[in-house]
Amino acid sequence: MNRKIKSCIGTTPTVILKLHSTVLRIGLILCFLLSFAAVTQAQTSSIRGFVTDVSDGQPMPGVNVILTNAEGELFGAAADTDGFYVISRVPGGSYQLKASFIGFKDFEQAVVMVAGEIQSLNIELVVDDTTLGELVVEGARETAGVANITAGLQTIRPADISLVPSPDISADLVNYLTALPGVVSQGDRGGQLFIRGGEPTQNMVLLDGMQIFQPFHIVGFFSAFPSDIINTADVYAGGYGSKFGGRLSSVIDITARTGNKRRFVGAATLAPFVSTLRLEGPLIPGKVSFMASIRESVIEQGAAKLIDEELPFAFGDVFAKIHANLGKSAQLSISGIRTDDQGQLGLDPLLATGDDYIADEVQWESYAIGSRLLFLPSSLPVFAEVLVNYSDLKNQFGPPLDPTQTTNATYFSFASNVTHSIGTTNFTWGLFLSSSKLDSNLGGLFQNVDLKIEYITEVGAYIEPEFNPTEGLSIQPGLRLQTFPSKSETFFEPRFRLVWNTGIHRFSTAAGIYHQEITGLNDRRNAGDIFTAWTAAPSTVIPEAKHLIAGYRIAPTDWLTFSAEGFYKDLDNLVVPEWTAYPRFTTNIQPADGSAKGFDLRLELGSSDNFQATVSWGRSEVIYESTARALQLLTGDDVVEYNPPHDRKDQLNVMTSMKVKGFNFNVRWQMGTGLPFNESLGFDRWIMLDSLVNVAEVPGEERVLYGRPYTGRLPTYHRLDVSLDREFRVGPTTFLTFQTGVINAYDRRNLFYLDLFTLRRVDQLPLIPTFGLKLEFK
Amino acid sequence: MKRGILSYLCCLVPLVLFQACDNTIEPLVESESTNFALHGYLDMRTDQQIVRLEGLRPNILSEPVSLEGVEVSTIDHTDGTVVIWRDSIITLDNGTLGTAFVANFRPDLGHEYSFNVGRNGVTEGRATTRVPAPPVVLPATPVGESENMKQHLVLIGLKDQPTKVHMLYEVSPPNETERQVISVAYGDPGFLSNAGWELEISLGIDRFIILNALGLDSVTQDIRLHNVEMRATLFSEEWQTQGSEFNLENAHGFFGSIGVFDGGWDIDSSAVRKLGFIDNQQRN
Repeated sequence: MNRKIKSCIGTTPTVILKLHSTVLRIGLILCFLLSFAAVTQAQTSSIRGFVTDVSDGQPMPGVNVILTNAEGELFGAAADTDGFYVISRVPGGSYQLKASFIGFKDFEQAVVMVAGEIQSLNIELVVDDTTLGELVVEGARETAGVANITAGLQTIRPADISLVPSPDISADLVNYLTALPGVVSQGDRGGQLFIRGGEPTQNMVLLDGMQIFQPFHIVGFFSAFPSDIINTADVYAGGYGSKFGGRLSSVIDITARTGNKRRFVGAATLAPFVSTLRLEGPLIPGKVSFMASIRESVIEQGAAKLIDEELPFAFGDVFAKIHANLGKSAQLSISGIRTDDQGQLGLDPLLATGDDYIADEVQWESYAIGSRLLFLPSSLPVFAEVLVNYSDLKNQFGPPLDPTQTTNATYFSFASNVTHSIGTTNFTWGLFLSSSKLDSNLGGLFQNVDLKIEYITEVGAYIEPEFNPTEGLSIQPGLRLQTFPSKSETFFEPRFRLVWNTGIHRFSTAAGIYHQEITGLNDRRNAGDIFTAWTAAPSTVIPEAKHLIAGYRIAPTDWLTFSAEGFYKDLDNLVVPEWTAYPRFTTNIQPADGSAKGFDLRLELGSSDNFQATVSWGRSEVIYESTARALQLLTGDDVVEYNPPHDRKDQLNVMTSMKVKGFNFNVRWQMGTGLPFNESLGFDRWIMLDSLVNVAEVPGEERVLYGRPYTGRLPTYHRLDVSLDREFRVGPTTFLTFQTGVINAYDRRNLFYLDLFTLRRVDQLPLIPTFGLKLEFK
Repeated sequence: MKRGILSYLCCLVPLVLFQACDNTIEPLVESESTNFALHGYLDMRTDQQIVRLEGLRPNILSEPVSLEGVEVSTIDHTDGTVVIWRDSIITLDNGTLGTAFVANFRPDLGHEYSFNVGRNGVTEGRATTRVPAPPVVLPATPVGESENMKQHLVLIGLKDQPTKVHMLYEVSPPNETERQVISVAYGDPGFLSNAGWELEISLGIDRFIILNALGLDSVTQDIRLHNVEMRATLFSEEWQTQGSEFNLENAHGFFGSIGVFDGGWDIDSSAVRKLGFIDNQQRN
């Protein structure tokens, strides 16, 4: 049901009319919804507001808010990520409102609902001292759980992240992501994640709505998002709804915490990899808060000395957020982030002399700034948000101080999302506009690519109603319209999600069609080269993906959850490097089709702070198919199938977390079968015989001769990480946490990559003992 | 059934453990024999043939693989002639050394050759090429007058653009009996079509070049034209599909051949006269 209109501008009037009529139709539907909402509202009433923690003013997602009348009728809703709740289509009358959440006292208030009126009621929950132990505030905000996956969507909370052993005392989102089945990391360096068959450039990462082009640091233990700043992270491994578009594989939608609105708090940490400082507090008590976090790597002074090995990596990030309550019905936040990374991953064998290798250096710097306004119009049962964001990435690669490849991507976006709540149905729709500037210098990396400065504008709209016809059943069809006036491209992307909760069972499915107009070009033949050039896809070959996900989850008891989920992604018009007989230092890019399919099994035991264990296994296969002439010549096949370098067949993750006498003991063991790599036939000095060359004079160029693509497999990857920490109260609101642990506890030599030119293997980090110290003012 | 599952698990678990412990990498595609890289072509323009040869190295920093004991020969499959090549260390333009194999013979048009590399009488790598067969020349009637006169040619059977095309005019200047061959360079003219290779011969312009070469003025009329020929260098099929290595076995690189085509035809007498020559062609 995907329709793609080509040349809507500057071509036939018929096509333009069709496009206009489509936009008109969407407009009419939206007008109908607004008027329908208004009419419905005239007969019933609504109540809505934000739920926050009274101690710090933080929004509280997941709080249940219920209205009960004298007849025992119940109307209810759960607060979303912003702590927003709305209960609509409530008949007039007197009700008792109750808001409840584990670890907090119930909030109760009598309310009178008047037909045709919309009430606003903000709720502040108070921590329940009777259930609160000395230091369990974080635990009370509960984990979401590894097995709690619904049609590709997994919600992650800071408490989940803290269960994973990490070399830093402040946990990091990326360590949790790499513990999920279906997420393949390149290793403990490189900062690249592959999600259910998708490449890193096919993942959309959003922080408070800001697009982050390079979200992971060069050292694989760290993302740009320390868990201290995270409220929730929604990870869609596929099948995401109409709100999101422009990427083929996945969406990681992170919401940052707001700063403490009651008092000044903060933390400082010291560890072998990174040191951090976080400060937050009220600017106007109860109304406006700020939060600022800064991290800087100390690898050369810390980890490198611990293992007596050169670790030429440096990175840092700065995040700041101001959040303001603009009265009862509006909130405004302004967020900004800056990251910078540099390090040496690759080797340039032609510059190497003996053992004195000169390594290429990769460097990137990204920043983003954005604002988000939430408001509740007084006369409509509507929740609206307006987002304005700007992102920028600069990436370069090559010899130090003399980069051969550079790329610069800037992205400005405006988006508005509106949700109408009509009884049990939510109609969400939105409009978006974005403009990108892409400028890359590839230094001849790809022979057939000569990039210019490109400007790409995108305009579109989406609609995504959520029907709840019976209790536990949610059906979300969606349609996204994306048009690129400068490229004369328009896409209609249907989406669908269904979740059915019945007793202890949950069935879910999701499907959708996705396009990616702005793509990243990588030379994946060399793992040491993580340079990504951002560019517009060629007009005739826009990458496209079709997703299908089906899952089942069962939670027979409070302490046992099991889930199984299968997925299939059909991929078209991917842009991949090709193999030629020409010297390996440059290549061509070529289109390829492909597919990714597999399943995940997840088992979660325990639900208390005292013990949790999860076991997950993911099995998948990614296949690319190419009809490129060079590959046909190389292999003799018309269609050449191969597994790309991120095709990890099996992944096993085991995590346990125990709390004994105040000590938190976390263990994680990961195992992944080997990734594909290009086997070599050998090296020669290649002479380009495109004319009557005298072969007795021309020296030729060094060349590696590849066999069929990616026929080799690297050894299996596995690693055990352990951490132990304990928090001590050293003052009324001051706490000191000690952490110790071991990364790669049995010193497995896991390969990062093999340089085919020198047959030199670059291993991932060996056994590293870690120690951390955190001083926190709560 | 249960026993079957247990047996399966008993086999699977050690297999998984073994795989998990294994930490070796085999970066090279295994091959039972040496893989050679060869670059060169058989050249009809010369009596000495040269082909560069090396054994594939396992990595870029490896020393060159010794070619001691390597035997190279060519077989002319059309007449059965076998030629043994000799090795030679050559100094390349950048001062480094390379190994070339050399043989003294001149290949023939239309003949197929195999280039065999081996040790102890066993062939390990092989490359084949067929020197292009001579095309059939199909001349059209010349058109145009004087300096604008042209003749369209089709060289039937050619699949690739020839190079170094020359027109050879055998003429006698006025009052001289001695014949001279004047060569007019055409570079890489014409185009490929379904019929073969097509080009225009600029007879009118060529006449002025001939007069100039003979030191005569442009009004000289009594030059005798004895013979008209074209010489072109022809590429074998391998040049069209570089990178495919379809003609190589256990070998990589490039091996092809080039032929030299000499072909003549008669120009219509009236056209010769219009050009201002005296027609002295030996009609077939």
